[in-house]
Amino acid sequence: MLMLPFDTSANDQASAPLIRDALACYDEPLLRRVAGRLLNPRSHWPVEDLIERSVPALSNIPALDRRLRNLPPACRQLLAVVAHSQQPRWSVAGLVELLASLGQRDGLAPLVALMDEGYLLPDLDASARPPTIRDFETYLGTALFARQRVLFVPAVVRRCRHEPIDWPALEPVRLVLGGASESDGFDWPTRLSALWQEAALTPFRMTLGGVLFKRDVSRLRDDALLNRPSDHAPQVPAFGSLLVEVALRLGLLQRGDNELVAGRFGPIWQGPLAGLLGTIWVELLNVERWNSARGWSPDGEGGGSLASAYALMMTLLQRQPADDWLELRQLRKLIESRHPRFAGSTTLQQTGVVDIPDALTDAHADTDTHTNTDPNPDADTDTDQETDDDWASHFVAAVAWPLRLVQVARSAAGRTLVRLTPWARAFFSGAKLPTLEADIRQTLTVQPTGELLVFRQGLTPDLIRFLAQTARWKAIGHVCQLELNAEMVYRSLELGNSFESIMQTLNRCSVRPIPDSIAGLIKTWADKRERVAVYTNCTLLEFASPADLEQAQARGLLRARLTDTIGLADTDLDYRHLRVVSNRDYEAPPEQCVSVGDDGLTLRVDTTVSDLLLDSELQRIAQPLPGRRGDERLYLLTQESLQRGLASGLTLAQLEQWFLDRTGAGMSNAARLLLTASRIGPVQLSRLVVVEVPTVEVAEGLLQLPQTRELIARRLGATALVVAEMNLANFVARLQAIGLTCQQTNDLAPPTA
Amino acid sequence: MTIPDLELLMMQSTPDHPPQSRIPVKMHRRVCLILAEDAILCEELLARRKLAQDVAGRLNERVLLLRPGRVESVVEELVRIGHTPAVHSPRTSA
Repeated sequence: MLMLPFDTSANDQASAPLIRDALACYDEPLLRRVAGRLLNPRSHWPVEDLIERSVPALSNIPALDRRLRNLPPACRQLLAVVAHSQQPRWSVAGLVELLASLGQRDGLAPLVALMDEGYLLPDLDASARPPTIRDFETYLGTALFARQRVLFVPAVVRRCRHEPIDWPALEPVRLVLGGASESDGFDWPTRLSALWQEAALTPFRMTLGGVLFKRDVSRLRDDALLNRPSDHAPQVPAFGSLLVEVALRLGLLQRGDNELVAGRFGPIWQGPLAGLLGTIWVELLNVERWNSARGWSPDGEGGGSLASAYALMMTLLQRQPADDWLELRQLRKLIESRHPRFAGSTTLQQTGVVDIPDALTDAHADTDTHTNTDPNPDADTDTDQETDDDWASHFVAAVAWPLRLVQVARSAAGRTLVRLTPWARAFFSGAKLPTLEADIRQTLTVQPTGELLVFRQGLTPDLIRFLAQTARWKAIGHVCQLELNAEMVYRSLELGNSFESIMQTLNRCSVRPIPDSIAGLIKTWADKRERVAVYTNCTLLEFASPADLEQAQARGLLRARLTDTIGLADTDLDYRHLRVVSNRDYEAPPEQCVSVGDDGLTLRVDTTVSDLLLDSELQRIAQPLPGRRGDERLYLLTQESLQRGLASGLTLAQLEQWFLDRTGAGMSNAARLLLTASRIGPVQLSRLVVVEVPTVEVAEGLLQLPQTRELIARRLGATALVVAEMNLANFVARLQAIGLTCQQTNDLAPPTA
Repeated sequence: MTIPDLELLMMQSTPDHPPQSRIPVKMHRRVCLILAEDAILCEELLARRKLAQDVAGRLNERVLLLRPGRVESVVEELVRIGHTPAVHSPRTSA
């Protein structure tokens, strides 16, 4: 069951580590000042002792009650609104708005006072280095502009829950047409699950700036399951984006590489509906990039969250008697008349809606001097015309009504009336939450076509989770429609459900027996899944002998045996049983573990560092030689094996790269010759006479001398020249003419002139 | 089996008492595999040109070794051709 920190039965121990960490960020003089107020120490205690003693002091109820009486009224009223919101984490900007609405001229001063008392603490980002706080004014000033959050101490907030807010009372409406409309609370959970499903099937892509691509924004806008809070609610600006923001906070969506992917259904989905709705409300208050006036504003142009206005509305409704209906329009105008974000609105006194004391009006006039970014300039705030197109109407339509926080009715004058639902009264007062689900188990029917019809009254958060994982949402209305198909059943199995659990849930919740054809289809899909298993990141153990593998299997180290010497390791491998002689990471670049013999064709594999990929690679291009030499295994490159490699799709460039990766050098000339011999042009065969001269100088001279140069075909080496056989006699004659003598080997026919 | 042998075996088989002899082993980490139900299915998969490109080798008649970094496209291709592979990963998402 959900237990929020401001519930009357909440355990303060849960917030102790947060308080401890926050106090540890304080500079020592500042910590001594705060602890001095809390503890009134008689001696100089170490910093650690101050922190440890401050934590219980912040949940000491008698002492807190005594000290809270001395707080300024604005601080106590702020604590009361925060208590009603059930959200302990607030942005500084939101608190300043609340204080201004409560008539406090300098928004930061009460916050500084609360931090001085230790009742308000910095909310630390676990992923960032904790800051060092030297004075609260500077910290709050920075946090205000950086949109950072602060954390209220739960025990303190709880003690101020009943602090009266000195706002004028609104006149309840007596004449109500028809009955009250109250949601069943399933709209948000079903639509969040539909969003999760959408992201699971096709992730939402994000730009480098962290906003959704235009096409994905259109997906949210055009999808009837995601673009409105309920099937008969009016259009709310960018409701799909609000769903995304809340889903991110609930962990239903996660940020991947430039995309939003499906996350997890957390434990809150296994609890009662009241807990889930409460969590959604609490998370919604921290959504910064959406407000009910402007919709989604990723760059902050829309003025950010209106959480302070929502919290004020809930506080005002909470203080009314349970049966009283209030006009939404009056409620809105009262908030707008005091909230700094609605500058330019006329006061209620001017419109004559309520009688506001002069003192309060003066205070309001002062609050108007704050910088204002009216989030709803187009809304009609002065006339009696009700358009249902203002931030309050959007808030009720998108949040308050579907989350079952308010009941809605119409007055005799046709105006929208609201009041808190019984469960919302319990929720905002921190009392034990009532059960919202009806005790109906059979709530769906499975059609022979694979269509699921779900009657909402029997839904639970866990059933919604199951349905979203197993079938495709088609419609969310009084009766929800889903479709069973192979892909969804496959995904359900991937998420940990089994054929048995799927059938068990469907049978348990179905009004009629599941059609045999559908049960058969699910069985077929589930069986098909068992046929192929893909292991994406597993560990294989290669043993020296089959006997070693059997021993490992006997010790329970293997999940499956793959070959005589290779086994698939268990997920929780006990390394104490193993002596790892070699460790190969397959995500790392290939290991150089092959050496090439002098012939350029024999490959020696060092088996201590080789991997399984190497064997497959070698089998494509070489033939194994029997036996092994120590830790070496031998392969031979042959023309057939190399040509086989080329025929299997390898290219010469890939082979060159393989040699570089595996041997550290390029392909041997012999291997390259075997590969390319058929593509090299014809080899010239001709009879030539090699003339060997005694010195290099003689060779150079003959090459330069005009009468001999023309008869030399080419130079083979430093002292070796080639002469065509037909020119030999002429060449010998010219040599003799310049005085060189010739000696002829026996195998050469005598030159003929 | 003698009583000391039995004691040794029991010591080896209880997790609190690691065995005295450690088995020498070569470890292959972060390997991607396909484990098919039978050899015929394996052949069917290898007959698919797109899948075969990503298969680095075959460990036995039922086990295909995948190229590093290709597992996602292999799963996509398997799903595309109508299979519903059970994907075993230490990083399951939901």
